[in-house]
Amino acid sequence: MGFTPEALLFAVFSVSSVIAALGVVVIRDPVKAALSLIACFFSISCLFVLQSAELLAVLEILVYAGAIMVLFVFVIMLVENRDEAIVNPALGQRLGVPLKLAAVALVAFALLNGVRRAGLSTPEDLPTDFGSVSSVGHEFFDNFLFHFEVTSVLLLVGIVGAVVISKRRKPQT
Amino acid sequence: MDVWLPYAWDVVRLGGMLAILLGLAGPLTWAERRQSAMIQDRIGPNRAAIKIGNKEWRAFGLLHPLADVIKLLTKEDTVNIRADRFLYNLAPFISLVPALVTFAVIPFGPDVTINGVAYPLQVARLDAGILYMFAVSSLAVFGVSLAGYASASKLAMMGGLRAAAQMISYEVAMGLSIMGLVLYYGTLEPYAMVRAQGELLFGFLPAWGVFVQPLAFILFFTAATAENKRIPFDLAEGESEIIGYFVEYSGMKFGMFYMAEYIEVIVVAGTLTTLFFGGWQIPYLMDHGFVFPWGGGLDLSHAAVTVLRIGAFMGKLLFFCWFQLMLRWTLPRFRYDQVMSLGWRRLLPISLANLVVTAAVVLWLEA
Repeated sequence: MGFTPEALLFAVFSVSSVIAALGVVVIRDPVKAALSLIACFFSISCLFVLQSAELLAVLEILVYAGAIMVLFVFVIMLVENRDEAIVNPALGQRLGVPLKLAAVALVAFALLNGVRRAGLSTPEDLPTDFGSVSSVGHEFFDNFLFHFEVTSVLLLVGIVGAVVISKRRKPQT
Repeated sequence: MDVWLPYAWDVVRLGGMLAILLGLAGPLTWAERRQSAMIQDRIGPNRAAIKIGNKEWRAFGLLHPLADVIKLLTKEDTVNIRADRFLYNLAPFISLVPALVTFAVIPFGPDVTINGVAYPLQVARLDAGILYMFAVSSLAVFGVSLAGYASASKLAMMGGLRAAAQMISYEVAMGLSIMGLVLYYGTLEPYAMVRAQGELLFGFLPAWGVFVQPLAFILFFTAATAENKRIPFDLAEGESEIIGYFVEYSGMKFGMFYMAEYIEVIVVAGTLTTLFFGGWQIPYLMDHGFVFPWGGGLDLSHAAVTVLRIGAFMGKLLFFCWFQLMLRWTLPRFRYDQVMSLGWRRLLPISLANLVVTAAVVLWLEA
């Protein structure tokens, strides 16, 4: 398979996703690091679109960028004191940076390797409704119903746990 | 020529979308001021004028939006010295872009057939169109909260936090209120939804969303108004108390927040039209002309039907823009705790109940 516009776009968004991921690790200001993470989610979402997984791309933005990161930014804004930078990071934090960089490098390698091979599957060998809402839905509810239900129970447990923990902090009267 | 037609069509539909959004946003600011003046028995803006010869041409104050833009563009751009300049400059863009791109999945007319090929009057026909709308519009909260955070001003921070909390809260109810419609029409694609709304219920009533899901219409409209932070939900601004997240902004950066608000008004109007009021459908107008349920009809050409339907969409869009402006000057502002309790204790349970009942009915109808 030769050089196609899709391959070029794939390269652009892989590079931007890696740079954004790097930004999350190295930027000191937590709000900007969070924004960098959002940029990373966007790039990944574009990669999904290029691989005909439109539903996944939309859900990536809707759930991660639109819901989870909004809460992240909201909490950072609430608790952060802007004048207070981390001057003397603990040992764990010092160790954390090389580990994170290594993780980013690994992802970068995987993505760039994908670019090198340009092994984007051609549309012919995919079913026409690949990645559409109905096909993903059928996969969920026909073939993976049990896993789907177990996941939702797990999420419910998480919600109940969050409520229990937040209630315990309240002074007993 | 046929080779270039698809590209020319891309220009047509993108241009159409931008013309609707940007072309209407300016006149809407005029309409808001002029209408509020009428409601409050004032005259309203009417001074801006162009002098041709000896005659001043005022056009009922319609020149004010133009004069405002010139003023905003040439105004000194002051920045608070403690502000985070990068985020401060970024915030207006993050606020404006989601408002602009949400409209991409809304069809503003039926497919136009040229030489047997159908060309859509919709920028993007996505399989998950409604999810896309929610995904993109959920990003608007970043612009608002970053503006409040980056301004280094307590009032702006209060506004940003209020806005973020309110938008997160109402997004849930807004999304859930639509799901009943999705179940009924069985699609997430706005064009297919509009198509389905051309059917008739009981042989005479158009199957518009508002007739199928009247409760969802009220829930969605309330949540969308809260999402847009307009009165009665303008806690994030509260111009008589904290001014809000854009208090430190001046010049065109403020102008961008202002524009985003009016573009969101148009987007909400477009969404209401598309989901609940049949989009470009006119009751009893089929693809080949009118067919009345009481017999008789009127045959029309494809071009005439297309023009009528685009006109119908624009008419409904303008009606809901007007309706939102009127609401703003009719209702008082909620208290903050009232906003939160309305969102979480009323709208959310009601929309959940609506969803469950709708799901049961759809299942029963299909069985």
